[in-house]
Amino acid sequence: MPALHTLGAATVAALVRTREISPVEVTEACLKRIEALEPMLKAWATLDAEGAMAAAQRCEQALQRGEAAGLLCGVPIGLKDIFYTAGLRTAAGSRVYADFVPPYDATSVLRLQQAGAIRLGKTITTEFATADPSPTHNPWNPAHTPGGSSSGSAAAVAARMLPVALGSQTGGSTLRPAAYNGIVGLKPTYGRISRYGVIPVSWCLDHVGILVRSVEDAALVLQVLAGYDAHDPGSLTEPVGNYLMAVQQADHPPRIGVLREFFAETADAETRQHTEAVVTQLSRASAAVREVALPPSFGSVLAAHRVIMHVEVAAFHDKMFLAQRELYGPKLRESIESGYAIPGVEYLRAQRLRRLFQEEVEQMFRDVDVLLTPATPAPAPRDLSTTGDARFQSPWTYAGVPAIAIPSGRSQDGMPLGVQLIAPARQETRLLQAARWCEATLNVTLTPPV
Amino acid sequence: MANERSVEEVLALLSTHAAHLWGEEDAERQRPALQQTAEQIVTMNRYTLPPDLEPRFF
Repeated sequence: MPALHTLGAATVAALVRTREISPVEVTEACLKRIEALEPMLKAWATLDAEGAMAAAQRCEQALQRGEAAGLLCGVPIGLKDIFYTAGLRTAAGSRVYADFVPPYDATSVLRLQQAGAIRLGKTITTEFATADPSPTHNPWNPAHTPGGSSSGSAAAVAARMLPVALGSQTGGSTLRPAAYNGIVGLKPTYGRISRYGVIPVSWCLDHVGILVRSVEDAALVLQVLAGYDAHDPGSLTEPVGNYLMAVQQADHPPRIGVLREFFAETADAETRQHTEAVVTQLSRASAAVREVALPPSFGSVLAAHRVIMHVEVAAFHDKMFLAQRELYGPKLRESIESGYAIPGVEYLRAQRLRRLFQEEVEQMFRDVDVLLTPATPAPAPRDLSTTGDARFQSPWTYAGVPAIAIPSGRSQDGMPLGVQLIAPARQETRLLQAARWCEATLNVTLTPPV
Repeated sequence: MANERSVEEVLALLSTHAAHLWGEEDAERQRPALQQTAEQIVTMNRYTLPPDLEPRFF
């Protein structure tokens, strides 16, 4: 059997359920891996080793008593440090929240624990999940950014410290770090996973994200997290799909719409050529590939996304910011200050454009199942003063449609490359099915040299 | 507001607003970020919205 810390979530859950491995052994293996790599990677804000071992022992005892095992029984998880965890510090990478201990668990945290997951602790986020870089290093090369804002979650999952971590995405904060670290990142439809108990950047744009190493694991974790929550005013009421079955039945090649125009013009030459090679490979494996044009409003979408984000981040931080401006990092401070200055009319224009773009995006799927772009314009930059470029994710976050990044190869300097798939709103089943087919066809698993 | 305004005009408006909130000196410090925001507002306004289009927040 492979080393326990290298196993994916579905494998761990299956082996724990059949009592072939113990949740205590798995948790110990992950904690040892963290102990060995954390000084170099700096992926963890708060590690709760004692709490994790106690939870693993409770899980083992429950199995010994013959109690039903949850979908994530014995699976170690990490939580970006913006998710409320009752009794466990949630600092959001900020000096403002340095000593904040939430009184309750986020809905997503509760659902993971109810499914039997073992909470190892809180992973490092950039300050309030925005653009000032975090101290986390990319396990592929510490001179390159791991991306952000879910930096610790992505680096930890890529480095095999654990199989699952939660992130969030307001622009590109789940899929971008997933691509930069060579793993899978999933952002479902807006409202599919509750935002209750997640420190916001922008109420209208925030999504909970999933960071794992396979599409099957993404489906498994989404199955646990998806569903209506009365505490979240944006929560979807539509029924949750059978995501696990979707990935098990991913044997039909999807109809793929390739987006070029802005994406081809913005990507660097290597990424552009790599993406075309991926498209050719998928086409040769019988996927029906055609080019899809970007809708008329696309040229204004990135700007409108920023306008909403600036205003809503200012609205959330408002009094905290006025009282403690000196405790904020430079990029977040600039964003908040811009938010104060933007006229209300412009904020509403950005929201109106968002509705129009959502309708235009729906039309893009008339003849295809999913859309495909490079996951990022280039591999992770060799620059620790940035978290990279979110422009390939932001339009889909703005539209609230589901998207996933999967690894697809490596650049000439050895950094991971990936592609992004996008589906219509509420069509996670379709997205996961197509992603699983692409993953199997490309057959790329990336393991960093740590 | 910005349908026919230049980046400079929008920047002037944002800077005036910032000066009211934070003072002239602070508004001057914010100028590079406000310049980017002015560019975003002008870019966003390049697309003409139907007048009867309402926003949907969630």
